[in-house]
Amino acid sequence: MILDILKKTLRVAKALKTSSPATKDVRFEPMHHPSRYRGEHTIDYETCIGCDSCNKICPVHAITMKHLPLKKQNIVPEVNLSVCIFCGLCEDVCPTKPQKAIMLSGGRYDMLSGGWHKDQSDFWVNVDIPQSYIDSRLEEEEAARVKKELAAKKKKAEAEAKKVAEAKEVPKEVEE
Amino acid sequence: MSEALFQAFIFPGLLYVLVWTVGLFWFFRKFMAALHKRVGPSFNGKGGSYQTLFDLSKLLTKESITPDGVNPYLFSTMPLLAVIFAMLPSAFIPWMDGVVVVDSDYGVLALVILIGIEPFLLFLTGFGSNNKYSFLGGIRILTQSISMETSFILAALSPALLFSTMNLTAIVEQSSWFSFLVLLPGFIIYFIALLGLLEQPPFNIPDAEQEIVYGFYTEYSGTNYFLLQVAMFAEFMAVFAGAATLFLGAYKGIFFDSYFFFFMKMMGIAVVMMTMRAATPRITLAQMLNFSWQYMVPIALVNIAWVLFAKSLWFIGA
Amino acid sequence: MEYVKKLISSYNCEYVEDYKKCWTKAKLNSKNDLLSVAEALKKEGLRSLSTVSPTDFIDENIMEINYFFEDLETKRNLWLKVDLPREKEECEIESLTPLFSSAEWHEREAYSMFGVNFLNHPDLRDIIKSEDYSGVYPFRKDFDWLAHEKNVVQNMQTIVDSFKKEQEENEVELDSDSSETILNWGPTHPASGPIRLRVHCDGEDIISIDPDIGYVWRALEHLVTQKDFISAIVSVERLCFMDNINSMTGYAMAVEEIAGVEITPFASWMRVLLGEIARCSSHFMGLGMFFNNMGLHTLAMWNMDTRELFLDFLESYSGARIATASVEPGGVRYGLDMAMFDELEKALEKFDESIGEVEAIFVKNPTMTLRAENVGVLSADEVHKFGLSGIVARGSGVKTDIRIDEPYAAYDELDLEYIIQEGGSAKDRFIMLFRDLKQSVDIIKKAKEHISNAVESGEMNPTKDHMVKVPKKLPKGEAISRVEWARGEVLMHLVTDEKAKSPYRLKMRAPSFNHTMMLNHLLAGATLSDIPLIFGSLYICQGDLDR
Repeated sequence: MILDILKKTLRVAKALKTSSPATKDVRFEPMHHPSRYRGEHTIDYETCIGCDSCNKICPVHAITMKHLPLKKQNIVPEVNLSVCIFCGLCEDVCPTKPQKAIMLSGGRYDMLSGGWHKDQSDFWVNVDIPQSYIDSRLEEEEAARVKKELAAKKKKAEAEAKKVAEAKEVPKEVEE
Repeated sequence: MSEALFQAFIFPGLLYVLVWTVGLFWFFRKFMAALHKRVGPSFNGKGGSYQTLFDLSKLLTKESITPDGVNPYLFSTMPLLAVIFAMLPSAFIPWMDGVVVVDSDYGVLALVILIGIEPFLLFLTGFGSNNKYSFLGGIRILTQSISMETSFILAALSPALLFSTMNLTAIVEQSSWFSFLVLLPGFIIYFIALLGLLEQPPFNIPDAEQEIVYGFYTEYSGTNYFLLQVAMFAEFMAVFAGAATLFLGAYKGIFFDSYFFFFMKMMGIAVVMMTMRAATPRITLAQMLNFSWQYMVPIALVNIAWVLFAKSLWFIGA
Repeated sequence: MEYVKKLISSYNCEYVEDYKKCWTKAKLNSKNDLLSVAEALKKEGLRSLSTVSPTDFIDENIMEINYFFEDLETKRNLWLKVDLPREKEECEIESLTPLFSSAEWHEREAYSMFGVNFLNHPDLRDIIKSEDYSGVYPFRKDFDWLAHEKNVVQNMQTIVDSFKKEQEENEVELDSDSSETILNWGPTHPASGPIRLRVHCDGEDIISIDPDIGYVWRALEHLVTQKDFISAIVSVERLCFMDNINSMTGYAMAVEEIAGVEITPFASWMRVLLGEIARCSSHFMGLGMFFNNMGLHTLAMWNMDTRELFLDFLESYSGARIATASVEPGGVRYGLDMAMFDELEKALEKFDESIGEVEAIFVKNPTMTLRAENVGVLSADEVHKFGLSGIVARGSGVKTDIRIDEPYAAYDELDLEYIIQEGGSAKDRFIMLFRDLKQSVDIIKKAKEHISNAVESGEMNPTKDHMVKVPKKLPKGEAISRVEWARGEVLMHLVTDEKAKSPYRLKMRAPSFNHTMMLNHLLAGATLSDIPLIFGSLYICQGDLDR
């Protein structure tokens, strides 16, 4: 039996001949990073239509909706990375085309490494919307509203004119 | 006076043992990793060479927790005693031609006894911790060392029988290729008993992580643990040096004698031990006792008969 | 099957009907008939009781108990239901443990979670849930989880107090002069994983073992009822995420049955391919774990090397390596890009290269034979008695494999054969695991070839055929589905309410539950060194043990 053990030992020693595949320093570059890899979320506030689907399907309630002072598309998602399980269902259910408003595929993997984290705000994926964007959207809405009002006024004026015209005709008929 | 201080603290004393510990630990890790198809330590220093230095010095800065209810003398003083006893055998070994600290006429006996007393000290550490797992580990190491030491002593005595002297320098001077062949069975028995004495696979029963957590090391942390690790590696050094001196002819090499060959011989035994560690699981206590008393001890006795027979044929007058 | 139907019709039943290929479904009108029905079934040959699962119908004030009897040899199974009143004082029924040994822990679980009292049960204690839930029944529909979790500090104090009390009782009971002691093997043991075994031993000889489980209890069966049908897959896959695909397949099959939806052939074949890759991933670790428990780590490291390439394929396909969430009700979640098959090819090549060495060094290892040859022997009778399945059953010579008995996905188009190993010792189970791994890789190769050919010839469209739509609200109904999971048989029982968006009740029957139940039977009389060996050979995973 001792001879058997020695034979196994020699065969194990053959493993010294294989080179290890651990050639990269994974602190700085990943070994395998495919395009469908579910990494850190990228949230595109311009494409988002504010439908709330991602919030409703998230199994662990990691998504909070941030309110914007706009009329339509008034919520965008924000993700809490310490709760998220990276299942990707929010990306599946997002209805926007051609690019999804919330995307995990191809995201980065080194989200929280390095340095010290002094408070919880490091663990959120926030959406930084510049004030200029909000102002431009508010202007658009204002312009749309004004346009609608004018159109409504015009229609009302036309309807009144028509009524006056009809009212004028009737007395004519009555006269005759 | 200064020579005694040099020998006690630099070579072959404290500093030598520490450098040996750090270096051998790193070598073990890299070699095991290569056998496992992995890489091992690689971030600190070139090829991870600073890693064990950092690890061992980290242990020195950690808190040494002494649990409630332990026996204060046994728990805290045993690691120190273990280190001292493990470093003693290296005083008897002829490291280079003419360099030996204590050139005594009973070198073999001193070597064997000092190596053999070590497991008893480790049992006392297990006995002193207030923990059922440590106690089980202590009992296991006592059982194992009593069985393995019998064949170890019988095998270690065969060169002394062959050359009719217990003086280690005399044994080294008289050894040659032919005497190595005659002593080969004794060397094999010594190697297997060495595995049992140092708790290496397939005999790593007292250190069975999966069964009794960590044996008698369980309750130790910080400086105490560092001392026990140094004791373990010092014991490795004593046993390997003993094998090289008794059977392989210490510093004798091809074309010239030097410490380099001694080192190479010790590393050769270490490499074979490591490869066996990667290839065989451990056996149970009952099976180990069976193997030791039914096979090892009778074969060791037969080996002594063979050595006496060979001596009467070829080594008359030695 | 006819005989079973006749047998059960002779009792006072509400209905008896055929269900799928090998099942009969029946409902008893009176709970007093249960014992005589069970005795008759056992005599007829249905010796295994798979599980016992209550459903709490709070609106109708009824607690319905489901029993699943199986005959592993002739593949005849019976699904029996009985109604009980819902109030705690009247909710009781006769225990089946004296007749069917596998009922012991399942009835304990039904008692802990739902409050059903089983009369004449030998040892009715709490199981799985922690000590702060003692006296309340979490899975009843009127239990308030939030109110209970508000007193976190008080709950933790209850747990600590009960643990200390147990230690004190141990000190009192055992004589301090004798060598008898009660060791805690786990939960922070290097080889145990999160489970605690109370080992009552005399020196190194074991007298008895009492497992204490529940360290990984996530109440998955309750979490599923809070999510809708699609997002429930993230709870189901965490049954044990090494082999996550097969448990999602079982759940998806149950949902599709209730919704009346059929999936495309491409989705069926993809489920087979992904399921076998997940099974390989689990088996690689299982092989390594067996040797780890004996002190040799080389096999685990070599297996990890090969396993990484399989996980690379899963990552390219779904985006995650282990918890993939890639099987949904309606098909598979992602379409396939044929370039991904190149990565799978690399993994299969690496497997073929290295498997010869593994077989020569580890399967035929003399020291492993010395240790594991006559240890932990399970006879075929015990497999039937305790309701074991999977590797453990096939390692004792019982021919049971759900991929062949009740084929699902595309398994009926593959010609599979039973692979069994006679003997039943720990070494036989290890060899069985190894042969199962090789069979899995064969199936992967066949499935890959079939999908490649079908895509080339135009039969399957890999980017469009992967999913069909399942309605958001399902009708009222219930379904069961069984799958051959890596560690055994998983039975999923799904109950839905009218126009509901979430499952009403999902019961996941875990194979490791039955396997851990019989540790006392296997280990009494062995030594301490045998615990990790036998524990490792039963291929237990604490994830599905506690759910």
